[in-house]
Amino acid sequence: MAEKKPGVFTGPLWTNNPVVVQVLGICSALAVTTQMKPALVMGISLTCVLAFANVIISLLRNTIPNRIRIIVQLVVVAALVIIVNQILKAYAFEVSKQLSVYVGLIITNCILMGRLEAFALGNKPWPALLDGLGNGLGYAIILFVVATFREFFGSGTLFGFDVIARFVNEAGYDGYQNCGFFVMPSAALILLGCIIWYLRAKNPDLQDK
Amino acid sequence: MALNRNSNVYTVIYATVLTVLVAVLLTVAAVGLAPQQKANSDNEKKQQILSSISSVLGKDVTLDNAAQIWDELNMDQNLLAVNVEGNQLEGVNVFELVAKQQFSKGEVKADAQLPVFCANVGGTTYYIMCMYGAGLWDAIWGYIAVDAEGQVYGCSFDHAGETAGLGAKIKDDPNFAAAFCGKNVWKDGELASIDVNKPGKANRFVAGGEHVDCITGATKTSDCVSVMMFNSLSGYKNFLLSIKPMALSTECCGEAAAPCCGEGEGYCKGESCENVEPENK
Repeated sequence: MAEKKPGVFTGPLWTNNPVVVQVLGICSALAVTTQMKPALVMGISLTCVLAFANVIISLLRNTIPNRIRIIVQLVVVAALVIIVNQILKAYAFEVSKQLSVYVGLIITNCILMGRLEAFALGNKPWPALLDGLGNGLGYAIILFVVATFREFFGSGTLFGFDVIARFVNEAGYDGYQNCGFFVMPSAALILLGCIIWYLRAKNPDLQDK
Repeated sequence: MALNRNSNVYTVIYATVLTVLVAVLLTVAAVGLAPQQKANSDNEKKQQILSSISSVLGKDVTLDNAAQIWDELNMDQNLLAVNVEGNQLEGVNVFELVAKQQFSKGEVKADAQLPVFCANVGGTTYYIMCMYGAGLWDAIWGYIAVDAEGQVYGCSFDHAGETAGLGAKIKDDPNFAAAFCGKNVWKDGELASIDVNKPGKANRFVAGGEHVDCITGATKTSDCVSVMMFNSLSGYKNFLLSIKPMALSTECCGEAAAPCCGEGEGYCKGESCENVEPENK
């Protein structure tokens, strides 16, 4: 983690992306990407939680007893996530229903523990905040891209708006079937694989020697 | 003296203080947001109940308009709780009844308090009953609206964890719930419910009863819906009997002790239809 400050924020967005390069947080990337709206909310929620958790852990880093540091990280993350979940339930009910268990799964999202352990424990609050925001947004970008493909081909909609069906109907052709495969988690895995493939082809640093 | 951050005392105190702080914070959040959350879940319940008569209302019931329609129909004044004998129960907060608690192993408990939401639309009363049962992966539940004759005017279904794109269609595909409309839960005086199975198959509960086609690729979940509907309606059977108008058609009455014409509870006796058991049945 010898990156300079700009790298701390922009690195995770693409070249050091948490999902496709660090391969963290794959579980929820498969689960909440059937539609764009929950993917977006999941990305934003995780970014907020990660940024706050990074700052809090970074502030506490000199006080945390070494032997219980993982527990402390977990408590901080769990508390933040539960608060986010409660707020969603109160003010964004439909979204919270769609996310349901996945909000709880933020607690166990590997990105959080990974970044807290690898970065926040050894850095000052400001870089930790940037690292949290960067990794959160990097995760959100990948989720959003995957969700766009899956919603478009799997449901024929974008953000819930009927795109394909309308287009097909105007063309006077009825018989279009959505590709149900894209609704399945395996489609997300294949899309992620394609993104990793593209990224590695573009970026020689990532290729295995 | 520098604090020894690796001593046991420090570790224990640190953990205790952190836990207490977090506990206080979470309590404040949970208590502070509870009223808003309750309002949201009540609103969702109203939406699910009213969705079952959306064909009668002629519009979709969404989370946004559910409360408004609920008040327009004056639903709060039209709630009943019945027991399995079909008797009305007094002093029950009907809206707060939890469907899950009235069922045990998929069947209605003997001491269940079953909610009935009566909606008066256009001079007709629709009786909306709750359903609850096991799906393929997790619980499924819903509401079914019938008139006094037992004809279905709509259903709404929801689920906790059916497969997205397959079993989840019980909720997501409006055509599935719409298929129940116009069917009758009675067949020759017996509760046949409405079976969900493959096209062309007969009703497996009562011969000749109605059925709707199951969802392609979700036969198991469809089966579960079928069983849930039958078991739930069985709990309401006596209530449904009590609201059923007597078939008093005398036209085909003639043969003594024959079931009356129409949906018959009664039997022919002399020249008229009466609600009596035939002696030599």
